[in-house]
Amino acid sequence: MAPVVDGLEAEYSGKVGVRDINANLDETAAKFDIQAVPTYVFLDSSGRQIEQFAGGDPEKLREGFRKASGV
Amino acid sequence: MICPHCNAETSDMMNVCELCGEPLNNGVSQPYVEAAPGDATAQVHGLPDGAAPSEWPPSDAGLPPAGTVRPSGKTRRVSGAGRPWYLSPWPYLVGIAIVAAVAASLLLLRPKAKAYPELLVNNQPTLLNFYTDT
Repeated sequence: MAPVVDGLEAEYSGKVGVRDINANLDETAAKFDIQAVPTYVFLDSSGRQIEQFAGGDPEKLREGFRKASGV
Repeated sequence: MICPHCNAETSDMMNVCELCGEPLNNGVSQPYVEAAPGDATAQVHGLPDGAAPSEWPPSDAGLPPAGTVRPSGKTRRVSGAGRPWYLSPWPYLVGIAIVAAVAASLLLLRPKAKAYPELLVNNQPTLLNFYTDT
């Protein structure tokens, strides 16, 4: 999924940022109750969670980018 | 009974309509007690001769003709017993207040979404990509 994420990050550059978090090392994973990887969590510009899903589904990932960017 | 003035349902035990206050001119409740003809003082049933009820007006000019007794409180409205609840605005106001209170409490008790502004990249919408090395 890394190429898909990289491509969408470039496509939505300046609109949606991407932060990579190691679920084994970062306590942030506990905040979002991460049970599997990869898991994607979209935050809006206020930091509120707007979507979360696990698994490598490029279409869901693209939809998340679209929703997060407000397009 | 039905009030001849406002057509509202009212008690037939009263001399006046409970809603509009107008006298009920039917055979049951007469607003006036007719005096005996030629008698300076009214002959009221149940009262001894010469004994006038408390409502009895003094025999001055400008008052109703002698021989009539005007019941006191002719236009006084009767409240409480006998008046249907749906004619009062209070039940509706109380109902509206209860509904508003329930709606307000639901809004206030609604769980608010947590925010993590410290995780944003350049204060813009952000994807958190959780991964593992293994």
